[in-house]
Amino acid sequence: MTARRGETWAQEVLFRRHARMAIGLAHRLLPHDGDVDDLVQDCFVQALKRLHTLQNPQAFAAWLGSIVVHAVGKRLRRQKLLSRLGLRTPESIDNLSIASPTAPGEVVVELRRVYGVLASLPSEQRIALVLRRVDGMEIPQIADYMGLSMSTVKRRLKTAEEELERRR
Amino acid sequence: MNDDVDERPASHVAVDLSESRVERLWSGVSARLSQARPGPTPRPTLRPNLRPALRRPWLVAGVVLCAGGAAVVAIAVGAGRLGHGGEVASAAWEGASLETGADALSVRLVDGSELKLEPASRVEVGERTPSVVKVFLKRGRLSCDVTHRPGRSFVVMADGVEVRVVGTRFSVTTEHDRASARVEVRVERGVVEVRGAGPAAEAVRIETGRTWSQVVSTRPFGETREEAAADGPPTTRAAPDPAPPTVASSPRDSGARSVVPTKAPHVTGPRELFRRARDQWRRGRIEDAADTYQMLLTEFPGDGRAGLAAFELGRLRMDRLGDLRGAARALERAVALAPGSEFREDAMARLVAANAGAQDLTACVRARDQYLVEFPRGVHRRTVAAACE
Repeated sequence: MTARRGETWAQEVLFRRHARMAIGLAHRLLPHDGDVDDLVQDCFVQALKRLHTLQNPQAFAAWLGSIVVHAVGKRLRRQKLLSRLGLRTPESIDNLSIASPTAPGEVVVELRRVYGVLASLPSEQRIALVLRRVDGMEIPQIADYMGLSMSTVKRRLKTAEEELERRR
Repeated sequence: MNDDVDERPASHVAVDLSESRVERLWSGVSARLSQARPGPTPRPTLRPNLRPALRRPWLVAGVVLCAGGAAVVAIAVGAGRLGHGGEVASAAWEGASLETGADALSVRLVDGSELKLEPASRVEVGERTPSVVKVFLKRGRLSCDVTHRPGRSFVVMADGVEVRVVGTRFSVTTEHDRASARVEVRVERGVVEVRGAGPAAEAVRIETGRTWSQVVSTRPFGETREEAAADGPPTTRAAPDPAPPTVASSPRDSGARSVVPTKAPHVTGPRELFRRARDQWRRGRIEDAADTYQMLLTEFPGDGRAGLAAFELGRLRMDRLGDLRGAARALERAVALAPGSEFREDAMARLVAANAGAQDLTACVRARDQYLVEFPRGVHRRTVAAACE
């Protein structure tokens, strides 16, 4: 890949091809977070600098997705710590505005349910729940994105979905 | 992911995926990548002789703001502070440089004058005394809104061309090719005095609303006006109308090349053309950018960038120039030139939209069917499938 050699135009093509995927993923994991653009920029810079380490260039999207997921996890843990120290207002997610105006009714209901519970979940449970319920990923893919074993992902999902059911 | 991507709730989450957001993000990413690369640093920088400069708090503030990518920087160049700035401050600023990457940078002088350095531009402060401030534009575009100060001259040098002002708003642009540079001076308010490059150059006054330009031979950065030879006579014309010159400058050098009023004159390589088109796009010169992409396609149809150039040309015509038929032609070419490219899917989806917008339903249906065959689970599938109705 030309982008691996640091050619700017090729990097730009790669960016434009995957920018919306990365923005969308970050936004779904961190709704209403004003720093999502910074996070996406960080992820692309990291990915494009380390492009030579990617063994299968066709897997760029998944690789970038895992970078975004890791960055989100890191940010969530940091936010939680700051909240515990009283240095940050605890996150509140406006689950009523999460769905687009054209979304079908049942999807709106599902999105509101999921996003209504997110703020109360630990970061790994939260990410796993969004990847599963919103992005529709299968367990192995979630495990790849999160860098966890499939059994750990299943446990995280089970706990998160119990909380979802409890709030029903 | 699920088999049917369109049914994922993810596709119904409200999120801004606009072109402007993507463009903004790319500006940030490219600036950071450029910063990490060896070689010239395109991110906004301010590099005076730092040691004496850092002894002065107002300079430190300017440096810190610039390093943070601030849009406006306050510095004291050639204005009120000069009177008691002494030799140290003067020495600190001689040779200082300002350079921008993807973002523009505004510099406000303490006398209220404002300099705006457009993206991918560089200036150096050559001289600064109570009676004169001289700035060298090394590349790109510098816009100046200069406050009138009795007894003080403000001079911008660009490839041997000297622009001397008293109090006005004007811009200077220099575009380089391998063999030449085109310097353009556009006066928005007031009057400037321009002395073209070349030993026999005479000063001409350029008034509000006029543009002056000259093609000069390229020399290494930093040379003086006397060292540069003029290749062609300058012209002035009314702005923004690119009509024939309304005020002819004095023709000086016999055998000179003709002045090219709107475009750089030489085709270099496809890489340079691609870079130039991107620069023009970033500066908002959309028509110029489209012309440059077209030039790349015409001159280098076999180059590896041709497909991407066609795609970018299609995007410009579609999103910025409102030329849907032209966009469709460019996108068709992009699809043909780059069969396995990263942007093929986007190009095909746009081709459907462009044909639909141009009311060419036959072409629209053909492009739609082709997209759906090649990308049955593509990210644009739903939009494309609903097109051409």
